[in-house]
Amino acid sequence: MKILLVEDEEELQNVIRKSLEKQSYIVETATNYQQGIDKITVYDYDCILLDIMLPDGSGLDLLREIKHLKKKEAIIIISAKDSLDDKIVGLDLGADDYLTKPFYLAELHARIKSAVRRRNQEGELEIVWNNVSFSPENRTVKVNNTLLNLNRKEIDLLYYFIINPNKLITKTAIAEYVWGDHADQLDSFDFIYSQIKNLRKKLKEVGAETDIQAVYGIGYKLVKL
Amino acid sequence: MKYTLQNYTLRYLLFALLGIIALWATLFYAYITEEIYDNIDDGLKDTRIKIIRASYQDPNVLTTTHFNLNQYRITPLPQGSYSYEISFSNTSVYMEYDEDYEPMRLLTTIFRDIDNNPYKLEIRASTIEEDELIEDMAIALIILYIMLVTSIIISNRMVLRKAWKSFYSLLNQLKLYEVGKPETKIEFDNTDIKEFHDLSIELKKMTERNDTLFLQQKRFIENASHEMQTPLSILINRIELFIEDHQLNESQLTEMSDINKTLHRLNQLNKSLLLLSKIENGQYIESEAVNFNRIVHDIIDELSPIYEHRNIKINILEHAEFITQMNKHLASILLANLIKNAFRHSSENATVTIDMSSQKISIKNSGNGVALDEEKIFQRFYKSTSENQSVGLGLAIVKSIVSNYPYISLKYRYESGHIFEISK
Repeated sequence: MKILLVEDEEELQNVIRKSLEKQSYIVETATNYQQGIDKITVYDYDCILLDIMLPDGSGLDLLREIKHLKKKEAIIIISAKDSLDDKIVGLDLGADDYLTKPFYLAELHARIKSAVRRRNQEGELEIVWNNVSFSPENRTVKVNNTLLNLNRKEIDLLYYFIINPNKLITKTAIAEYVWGDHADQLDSFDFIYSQIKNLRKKLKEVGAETDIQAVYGIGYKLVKL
Repeated sequence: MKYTLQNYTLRYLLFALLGIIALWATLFYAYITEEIYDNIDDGLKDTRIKIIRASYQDPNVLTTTHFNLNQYRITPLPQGSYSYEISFSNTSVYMEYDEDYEPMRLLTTIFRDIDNNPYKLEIRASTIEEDELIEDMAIALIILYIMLVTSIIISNRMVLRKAWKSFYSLLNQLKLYEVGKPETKIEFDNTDIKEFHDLSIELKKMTERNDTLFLQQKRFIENASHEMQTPLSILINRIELFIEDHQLNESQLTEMSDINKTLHRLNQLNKSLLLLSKIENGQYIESEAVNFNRIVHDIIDELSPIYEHRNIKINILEHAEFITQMNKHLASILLANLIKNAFRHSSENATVTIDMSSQKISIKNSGNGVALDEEKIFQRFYKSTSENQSVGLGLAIVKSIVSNYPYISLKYRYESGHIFEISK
């Protein structure tokens, strides 16, 4: 899968690129509006990560250009501006998602997956990890064709882990993903602990060949059993 | 005790005027009595010459030994040597007309008749009644004083009011002035008085300078928070990659995780500061009729699972719907911060009570019997406990949201629990 990353901050660009490449994406980068336009007009991508504030123009203009060219890429705006207006304008212009900096890379992966899936109707409808199959469309989880009875937050959690398998995800990243704005309280850590405990129990009951492992009390990792 | 400018000047003027009039009255009295006596004495001296001259021609004159119709008397003296000096004295004589003693000026002298016999001559003349003069003068002066004072007060009022009109207009504008609020900015007041004209110009300049600085400062906080987001992103993401990348042992991983948590806190702090300055910079302009009850339910749905493990009971009393014109996003933040606060500061098995009616919403959580310092809790970075995970901006954000809407208010009180109440 090919991704174009338009981000003027080189250090951040490097970190994001490295992380995406580890997930076996092919990543191309642009550091300004002009480079972005050049690449967009010539190549096709699966997903474009777009910073709004570029040194020589606005990412929103780039977004207009992409839409004008009738391109099919999934577009995720990554912005330092947590502005409701920008968010609304961006989504109105046809962006698939809006991510405010700073974000966790694990969250970025989850957002890319969702955006690309929504974009490609013919794309994978189910994410399968060992004998667990996750249907983002219906928000259902099946293990060996048995439907799991999970609550809303448990589904969010499992999706996050399945998108980032074998990867240590810190508690703060989980809290941020599942709780968003309310993640600023350490109380949510206790909650995550109890939710994951329930989730593990439910997975185990139906014989899922997977487990969410606690890693030294700092985070969790989805592993194959 | 503070006096208005009018009364302040008037006070001194009244005392000064009193002193001046008293001094003037003394001097005037001295001059006038001096002049009167001088006049009477001259007349008496003249009469003396006439009497002596008459006695030379008509010795009968010398037999006037009593003050009768003539206002003089002549007393023969034994032979001897006498001084012929003229002396004046004041005396009083009973007057039938007045049935009272009246003051008299008395001239006394010695003279010799044509045969060189000595006689004492006394001539008297009615003179001014000093006490009456003083009385009359005092009355006249009091009237003068009152008239002066009244006219001063009246003219003072009229002139001062007119002259200070622009000053008071400036003063009233200053009272209403709030830094950073353009609708309260000082208007230039056109006046003929140079001092006030200058004052008006300088005040206008000063407040404009203040407003600019205030705006710059507010913008600075917002920009600084913004600028911090990129380096924060880089740090957070690098640590995330690092944790994945390396085969780290437990202590190293825990160390990285702690750094991560601290960064997370820094990020929260930064986000809160950004939110606070955005609210204060008035970036949430859109407003609509917001139903607080609905938001409260959404927040409870969202939050209650987080606090489920602490077994906190939520008691929602809904008497009516609280609806007010507000930015919906801000209304959510306002209620979420207050409710989160109530949850966080509740002990295990405690109850959080949310009471909603059409005019007010109160959020109550149990306390330890000690009320919080109402002055301090809404200040930025104030923490009632030493719990170091909290950013200390939650209630500052709440207060800043409420102050954006003059028609709602927020109060804290302690009543067998901490109560925060939003009311219309």
